[in-house]
Amino acid sequence: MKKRQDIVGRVHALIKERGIKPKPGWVFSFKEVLLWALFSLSIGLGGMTAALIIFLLSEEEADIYLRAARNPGMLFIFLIPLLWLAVLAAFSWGAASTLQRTKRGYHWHAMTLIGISVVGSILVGGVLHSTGWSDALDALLGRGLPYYQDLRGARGRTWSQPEEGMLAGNVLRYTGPQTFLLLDLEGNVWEVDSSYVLALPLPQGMPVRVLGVISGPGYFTAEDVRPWRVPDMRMPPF
Amino acid sequence: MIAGNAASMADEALAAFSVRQPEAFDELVRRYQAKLLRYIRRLMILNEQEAEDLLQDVFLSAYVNIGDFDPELKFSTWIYRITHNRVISEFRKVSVRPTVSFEVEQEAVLRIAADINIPADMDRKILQKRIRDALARVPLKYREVLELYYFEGLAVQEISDVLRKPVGTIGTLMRRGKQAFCKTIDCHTLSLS
Repeated sequence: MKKRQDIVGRVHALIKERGIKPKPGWVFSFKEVLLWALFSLSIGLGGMTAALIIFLLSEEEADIYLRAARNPGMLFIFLIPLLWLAVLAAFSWGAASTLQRTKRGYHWHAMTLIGISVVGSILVGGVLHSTGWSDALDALLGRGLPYYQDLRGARGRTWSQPEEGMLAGNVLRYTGPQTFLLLDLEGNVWEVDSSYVLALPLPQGMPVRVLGVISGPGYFTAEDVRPWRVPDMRMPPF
Repeated sequence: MIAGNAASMADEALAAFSVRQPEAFDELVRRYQAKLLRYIRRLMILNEQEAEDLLQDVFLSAYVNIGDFDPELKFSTWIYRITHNRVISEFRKVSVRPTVSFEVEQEAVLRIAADINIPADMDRKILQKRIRDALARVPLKYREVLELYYFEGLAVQEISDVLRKPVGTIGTLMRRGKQAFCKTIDCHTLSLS
């Protein structure tokens, strides 16, 4: 019994001697608010990353990805989305780890928290992409990050492989009902025969991607002609 | 004002009063000192003085952070959490393997014996020694769950609140802990003896 009184007395005396006061409640509330703010920030940044991934994936159609999977020279198409995927994973981990530190966070299993974070980021990303912010973000990063600009240039290099059946550039002018001149990304002029493609005349200067084969020096027979970006509100349809 | 009524007040009410009246906290110290001292000494080899010093730190930390006590939890859960964290932090500081240095209470022996199919009617002293030795060899992550359940008598939900792990994880740790315990004590052989 003496021992028990001793501990009560010692604790009481130390509180008095050292003038120990309980931390005010707002300190803990602030910590909780800070954690939720950090979680929201991680979801926001993860959402921006997800928006960029959706944007990059939507630049190419599925058949291009299938082609890229078979052609080592086209693997750059996968590189940037994969890079952003790693960034998304990091933000999702950060969000999950922050959520776990909140008062009730420990009730959920780690995988559930990661799932919540990933789904949250993808939802935010989807909203950003559908409202056109992903395009602006990509352009902003292209201007601000030199390495990103280099990586994005890889898409141009991928589409500058006429021997692999991929050509991109701007339409100069029509030389016949179904043939037009194309200035490629390396400054070469090609005469493109699009008679096998059901396409309306393309506006002068329009950036396009052409799938097909080299049919002679400076001649390219198109199997498909597509706008540089997937048709959307910013591009006129073929 | 508190002093007279403190004994009849619930822990959670005393915790709320402690923010303004340290005397209310004295009653909480009085209520939990023995339990927590036993808990500390179960988890870590310490002499009486060291264990009391650690306990004193636990109570001071609890007093400083009393504003963080969540009234939706039981006070006992919250104070066990602080104690657990403090003990784990002490382990890290002294870099020793946590071990068991306690006498196993009869009540806990019966609970373990009933749950893990050990015949409780075998020689008590032998059984107590075997349980103590076996627990000492169970990894800490399992042992802390077994101890909170069998020795402190906490429910799975409360253990989840103390260790800040999901209920499902506690269930898994408990199951694996029992397996590790049985492997160590050889429950099968024991039940045949």
